[in-house]
Amino acid sequence: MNLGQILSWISFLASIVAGLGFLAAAGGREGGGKVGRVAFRVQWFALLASTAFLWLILFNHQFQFQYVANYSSRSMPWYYVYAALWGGQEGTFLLWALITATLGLLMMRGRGLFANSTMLFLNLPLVLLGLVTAMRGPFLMWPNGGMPPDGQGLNPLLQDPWMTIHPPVLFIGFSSLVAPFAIGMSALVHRDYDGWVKRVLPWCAFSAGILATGFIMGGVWAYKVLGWGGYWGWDPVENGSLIPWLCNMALLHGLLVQRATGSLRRTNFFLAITSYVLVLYASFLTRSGVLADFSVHSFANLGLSGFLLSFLLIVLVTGYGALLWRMRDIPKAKEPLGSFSRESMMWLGQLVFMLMTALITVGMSAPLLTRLWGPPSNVQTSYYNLVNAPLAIALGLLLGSAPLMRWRHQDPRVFLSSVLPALGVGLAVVIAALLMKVQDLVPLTVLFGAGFALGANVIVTARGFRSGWKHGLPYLAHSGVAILLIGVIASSNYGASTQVQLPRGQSRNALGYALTYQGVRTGERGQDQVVIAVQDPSGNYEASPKLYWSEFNQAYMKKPHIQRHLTHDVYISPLEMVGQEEASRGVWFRKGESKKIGEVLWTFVDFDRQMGDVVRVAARMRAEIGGRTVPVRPILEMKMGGDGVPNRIPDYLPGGASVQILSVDPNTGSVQLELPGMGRGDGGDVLAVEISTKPLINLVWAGAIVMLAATFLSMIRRIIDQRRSQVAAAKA
Amino acid sequence: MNLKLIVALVLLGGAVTVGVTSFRKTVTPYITFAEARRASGLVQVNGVLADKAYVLKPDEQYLSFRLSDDKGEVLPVEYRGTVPGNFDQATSIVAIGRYDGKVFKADQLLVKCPSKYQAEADKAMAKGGTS
Repeated sequence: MNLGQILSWISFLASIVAGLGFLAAAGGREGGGKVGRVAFRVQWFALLASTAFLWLILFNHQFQFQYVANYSSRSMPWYYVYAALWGGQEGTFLLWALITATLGLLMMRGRGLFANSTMLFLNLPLVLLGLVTAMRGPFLMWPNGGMPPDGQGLNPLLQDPWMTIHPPVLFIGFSSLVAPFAIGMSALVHRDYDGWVKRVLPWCAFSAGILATGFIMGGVWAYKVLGWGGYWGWDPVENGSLIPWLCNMALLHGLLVQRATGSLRRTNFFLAITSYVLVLYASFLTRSGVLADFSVHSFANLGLSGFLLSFLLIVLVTGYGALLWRMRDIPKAKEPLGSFSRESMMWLGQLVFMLMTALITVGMSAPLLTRLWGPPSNVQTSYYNLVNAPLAIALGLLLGSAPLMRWRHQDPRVFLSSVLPALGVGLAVVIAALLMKVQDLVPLTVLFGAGFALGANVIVTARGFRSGWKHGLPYLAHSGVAILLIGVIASSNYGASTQVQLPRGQSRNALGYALTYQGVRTGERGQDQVVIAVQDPSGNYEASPKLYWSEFNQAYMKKPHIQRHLTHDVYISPLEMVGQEEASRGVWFRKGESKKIGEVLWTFVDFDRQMGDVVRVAARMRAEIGGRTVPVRPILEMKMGGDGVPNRIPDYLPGGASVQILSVDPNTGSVQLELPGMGRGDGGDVLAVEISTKPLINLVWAGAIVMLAATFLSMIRRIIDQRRSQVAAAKA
Repeated sequence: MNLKLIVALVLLGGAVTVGVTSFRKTVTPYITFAEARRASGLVQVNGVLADKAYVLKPDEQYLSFRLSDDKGEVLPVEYRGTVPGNFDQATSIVAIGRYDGKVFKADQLLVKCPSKYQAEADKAMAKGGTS
């Protein structure tokens, strides 16, 4: 056993002791709380030390540890070695546990029954994570002291500055949803059906802000690096981070209604439990391999589906079980919802969030659901757009009307007069869109809703800020959401896009820009960039998207060039290099000749010929790699009387690199081959690119920034409120 | 109370209707080759490259190949569009499209590649085991 494993066992055992201690304390034995708190601190220290130890062995390239060998390599720069901590599942679980325990440390400052049982429920996932880290964690070594000379490194797609920050932020968001769950559970146990609202609100705002930060970062990464031109793809992984957030949004708004009017008590408990259940359900779907056939992500199945499923079931049964047990005991509101008032609008908004959550969950569960009655099926991504468009319209309208209304009861006539300016903004947005030739009904309606919401919230924000900084914040966040929505509709539906082939040195026209492909330049870390001179009416520039061969992926990696303007982005994404003259690509061999290319010594032994309707020529090659000889036999096939295009059947080296015949010269008995490691990518003379415009994309980023800033400020405000009320309670 | 119920039911009913119709419109079943030959709508098939005899014309963005499933059945597939660069090393190919009577016309190809570290790790493990 190594130090890492010892630390993992210590934290696991400490989590059990802490759990038992908090259980005793929740039952009324104050001594138990003391034991629980000490054990919990021990657990946190052990988790912190294991994380530090994992970083230590990563930075010291201790490849005798399987995890280190699998997710890092000597050539990786330090900031990616640091990110390798969450490069694999095992490290992710450790990080998840550490974050949960850190949040627990913050919550442990409270005393009394309530605090002890909150800690009990917060500790529950830690026991499970502790078990899996101790049994299968990142500290396993190769059997019999084996040690590879170098590690495998991290997928180059993940080697981006955003990847060093985006995953931990998302994990903090996911983990933080344990707080509403634990606080809600202890409120149920101690029948404190209203008092928990104030305690849970700051945590709710915190999760909302952190998770949104996480997927906005993911969106920026997708847009900047992946090159498919979008920032959100409705992939299972993205949906998995979205559904807990939507559920948390429903909870946040429900809690505000409960605080003001005393309704929605049961719904809020249900949502607090469901948010965490959805975190676990999403991890189960995306990490256990059950979706492996339905996503382009390859999910390694570490045999963890059983663990994740039991984790999910334990939380699900405890959570919903407690709610059912207390269901009849939870008092109903004195005044039912349904009057023309702010709380009714917020409640409808909550309902819209819940429906979005449900429909997205159904969509991402399609492969499991359809298995019940037929062949497993998946939904196209258009499903998510179809179901969310009407809900986005409803959300925009509610987002605009709620802030203009009073609690309890709103006089409809007064509302009518205050709503007119906001409706004017909505109409102005629609007219602007019509002038820009947007003619489809659904986007126009979404734009109207978003414009209306923007108008209403800007008015209320201004009014709120006049009476104190904290009163305008929620409406400022809403204004950000409305701006974001307008940006999303414009940039994803109304950009122009075309594919164009660029012969080297010749100018080609696309979307009103003149593009000239000038050649290849080797950029940082040996990653080739293609250089394109762009003539733009508003100024010329040089575009340098990346297009390079990656040994890790055995594939071309591409990174787009984005030229930013105030009103739009020009997005130039390289597709591929099309060789015009194949003669320039290959290496010629005479019979018996040997050539060394890269690490491999190649020898052309002889041809095998086969005549008939189809003429087949196979080249018998010998490849010597590091003392090993591998026979390779690529084939060229030509159909007599066919279209004259030969069919090339490549052969492969053990690593997967392909060898193919480009042409054969029967007179000299020589063959022209394309071999791996010949510096692919720079041989072509025609570059195919996709060029597109992203109108108003800056509204997406601007809206996101406004939304995030306001969310975090309101979290701070909630914390201050909570402190004040504690101080006031202490005085009284 | 009634207003609350009515509004909620309208919203719920609308969402369920939109959900069900969208689901049915966009769902593409994962089916066997025999079923794909009979099916009329958009379907997904999955398999591996049957042999290395494929035709790839990058300048025309054209690819045709033979897909074979785990029972060894073979389906000819035609695809127009940007060909995934690592296509010939795929451990599994998912094609989404429809069968036109002769070939399966794919609108979309999802290509899953061997995870390099996994393969190398297995190798290293084997090495460790014998030494």
